[in-house]
Amino acid sequence: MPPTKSEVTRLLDRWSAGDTDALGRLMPLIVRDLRNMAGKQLAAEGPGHTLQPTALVNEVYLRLAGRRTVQWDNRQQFFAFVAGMMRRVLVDHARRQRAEKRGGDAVKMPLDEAFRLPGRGNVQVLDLDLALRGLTEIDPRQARIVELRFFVGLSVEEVSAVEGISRTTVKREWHTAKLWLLRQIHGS
Amino acid sequence: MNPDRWRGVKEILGILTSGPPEERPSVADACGGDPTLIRDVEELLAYGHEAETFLEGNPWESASGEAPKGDDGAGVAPRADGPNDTLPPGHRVGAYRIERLLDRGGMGVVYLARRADDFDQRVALKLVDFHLHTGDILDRFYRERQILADLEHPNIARLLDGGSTDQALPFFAMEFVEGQPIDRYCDDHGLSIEERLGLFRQVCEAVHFAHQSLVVHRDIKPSNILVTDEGVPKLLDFGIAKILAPDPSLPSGTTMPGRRPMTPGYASPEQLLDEPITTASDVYALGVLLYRLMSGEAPYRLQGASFLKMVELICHGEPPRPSTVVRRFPAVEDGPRRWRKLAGDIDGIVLKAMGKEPRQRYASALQLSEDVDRHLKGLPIAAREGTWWYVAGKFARRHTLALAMLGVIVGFAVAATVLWRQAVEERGRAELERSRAEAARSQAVDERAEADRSRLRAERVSSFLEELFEAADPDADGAAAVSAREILDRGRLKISQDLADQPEVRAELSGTLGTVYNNLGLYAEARELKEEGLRWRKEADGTDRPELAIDLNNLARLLYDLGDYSASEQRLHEALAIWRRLGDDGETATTLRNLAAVAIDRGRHAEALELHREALELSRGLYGPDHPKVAESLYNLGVLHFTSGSLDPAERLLRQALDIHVRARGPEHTRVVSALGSLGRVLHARGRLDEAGDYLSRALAQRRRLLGDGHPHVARAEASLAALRLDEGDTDAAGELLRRALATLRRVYGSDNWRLADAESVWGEYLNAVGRVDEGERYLFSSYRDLTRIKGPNDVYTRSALNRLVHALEGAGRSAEAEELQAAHRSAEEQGKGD
Repeated sequence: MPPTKSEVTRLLDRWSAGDTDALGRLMPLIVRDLRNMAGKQLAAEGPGHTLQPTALVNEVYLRLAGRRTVQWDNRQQFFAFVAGMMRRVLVDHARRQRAEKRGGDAVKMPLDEAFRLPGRGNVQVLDLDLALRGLTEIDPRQARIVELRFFVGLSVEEVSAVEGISRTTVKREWHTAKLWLLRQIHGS
Repeated sequence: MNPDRWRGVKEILGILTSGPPEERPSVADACGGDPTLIRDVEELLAYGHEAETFLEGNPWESASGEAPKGDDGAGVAPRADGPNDTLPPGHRVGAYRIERLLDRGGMGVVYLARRADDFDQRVALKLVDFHLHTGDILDRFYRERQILADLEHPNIARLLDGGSTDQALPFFAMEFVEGQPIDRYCDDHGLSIEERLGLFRQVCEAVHFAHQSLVVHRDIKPSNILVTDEGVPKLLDFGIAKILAPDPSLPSGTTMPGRRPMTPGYASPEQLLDEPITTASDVYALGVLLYRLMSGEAPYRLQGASFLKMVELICHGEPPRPSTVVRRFPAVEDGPRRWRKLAGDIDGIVLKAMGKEPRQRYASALQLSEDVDRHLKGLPIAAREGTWWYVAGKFARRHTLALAMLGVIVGFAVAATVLWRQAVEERGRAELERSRAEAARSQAVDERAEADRSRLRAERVSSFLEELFEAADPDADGAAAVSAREILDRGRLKISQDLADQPEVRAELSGTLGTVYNNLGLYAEARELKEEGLRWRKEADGTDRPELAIDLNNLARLLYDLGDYSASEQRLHEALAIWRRLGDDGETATTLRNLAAVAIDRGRHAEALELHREALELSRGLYGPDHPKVAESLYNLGVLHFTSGSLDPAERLLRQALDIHVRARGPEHTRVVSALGSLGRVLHARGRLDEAGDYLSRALAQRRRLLGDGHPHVARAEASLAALRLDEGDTDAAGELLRRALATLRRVYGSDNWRLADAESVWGEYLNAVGRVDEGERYLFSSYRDLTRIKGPNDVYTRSALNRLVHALEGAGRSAEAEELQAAHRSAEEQGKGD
């Protein structure tokens, strides 16, 4: 038996059953897969180029979203998928860890510490997720830009290519989005 | 906040944060005095400071591991100045205390160490001695480490920790494994083939596990695979090579080959050429490992080889099949018969794993492991389709450009360096001369002048080089990428424009460029340049120089490949004359043999005989009568006599060759087997069937043992023996042999090959003998036609085919037809001789 295939399946099962560690192991793999796919997609010329998800991404996605197939008609759709997926993975991970912490397993590492988002403040993934939902309601494009920049890790240039808007616009939207999100998070 | 309002706020924020601060309006002004708007904007702006870093980072790193921590600098043990100094026991590195030195390798030093804190854990501590910025390495380490730490597999030594030492050298802490490198383990424990394969499969599966986590080892070799006393293989250093490699995001076209940490003996073609590395590169290294474990030897002899030589061997070379080196292998305990079967499969598996192109290899390490398993279970393996030459040829074709360019760059660089060195040395010598003796003054002046000329030459070569590649740089003039062809054409133009007064440099560069054109398949240009180079060579060096003869020989080879035999012969004769004048018997003999080869191709057997005879005499004079080189000539002569129908001398010469080869190389050498086979065919032609049968079956048995079933040489031996069995009346044996031979020959050569045609002619005779007359006749006719076309009417194989056809026609009572055919053949022969 190929050890890894069963290993991945096993991890996915454990994750579905609520084991945070399992996702912790899977995550680097998923992220890497997604990043690679994103990189390939950015490198691919023009529209009409459809990208197949890797087996791993596919399987994880099916578990997460419960959809039958993963398929994209254009680049924007693809990146929306990747961004959404990465966000889901991260949020799910955070949620499980929080639940686990409430369960009181003292040996685990300080979870809030691990899930603090980058930056000087003390913002956590779940708060960001909630705030982003608010932003999506009033400015979906701006929320997408945040997802692409932050969860997928695209550069300003790459976001401008994916969304078909100027770099200046991306920069301005990114900056004001962060202000909005911070106010939303700290204000609530 | 509703969408419209947010849009308005964003606009105001834009005004308030762009442009020079002194020109920005106040918040109140920007908001037009609207108090709720002012509050919103001011609240948002208050987060400006936090926003600078907010979300500016990788969420995945903080999610999956603690923040990188630096060296804690603890410990008062004596400092070592660098990694080459051995750290004393007790010295502290990070959280570890050194116990003793374990190994000193290409990338650094490995110590046995123990954690200095509460965890009592023994680790292998690797201190990196690699001239790269520690920061880069550590950055990569932190990027990779979660993935590497998660590689939890019983056959992979885990990466535990990493950091930097007091001297800011990176270190890695790994699970400590006590064991022997896998190759030594197998040999020391006298493992059987099956046991070795079992161990190898475990290694494959561990590698596959890592591949599934997207970790490529990049440096698989025996010293990175330790086997414990319990017989468990453990892979070390997984992922380390990537951390130590130069950043792949840097433009790779500029990196010098060889900068990546790798072990040439196990490096794949793409690794050597600095092309992208994938899991397929590990599959290749596993192939080399299997080669080593099965045959006891490395596929290529790379010791002391230059980089260019390595490229040639690894990217173009065909290593001997493991089964041919395997005779020296000590662990063949199951008898030759069993080993033979094993060898054929293993050859195929190793060959496939070591494909020159990544896509020709097994798609995964797991597939490789599964094929080994199929072999162990006696099932047909997936790997038996490819052949060495097919794979090598394909790679060469696809990479000609890269290789050709690499060749020319290295060639130029070498030429420039040599010339520069010469200039420096000559100049130094000249200075010395001058100061030593006033009397030698005039001579010293001469030498200085010569040294200056050399220096000038070196400068010309290197500036030529620079300009050429400057022109090829797509950024230089903003034009689209320049093709290799264009670079070469420019180079050619520059040679004629800029180097008109430098015959020697010009000769050198014309010859080199000619080779590159040739490598790219641009033969006409290659020919022109080589001929041009030759003219300049003559002008620069005069006519009696070894360099000129070598150039002539190279050109002759090119002309021969182009099919211009008469021009090729002419150049060879020129070279021959030079070697004769220089009195170099060895080179003269080689050139004679080349001439003989051309003569044979043109159907001039008598002349070829003369040439071989002289080569034989020269070889005897040089090496004595019993030297293998002499036997080589004897063999060539014998075969030549045989193909032109002189059976007496053929038998005599082949027997002499056989004797020498047996004495010099033992009874099992391939040369001995070739001689046995040829002698067998001669004896068959002479009608001495018993004797012939003896030789031919010995030849077949040895071929099978050395090469395994399914090899074209085995098929040839089968066909020869089959022809004899037919004449003996043993049609069953003949049919059996022929079926196998034809299957192999068709698989290897496709159609349109003289060896296949020869075997098909015998097959036609067999069909005739068992009563399938119509079918047999078709084979007899078509093989005769093919042989006439491919080998010409004068050839012994063509004549044999004719004889079989004539015999069959006569047997069917169609003598008139047979007569006609023979007459036609005779006139074709006459025509052929006149050519």
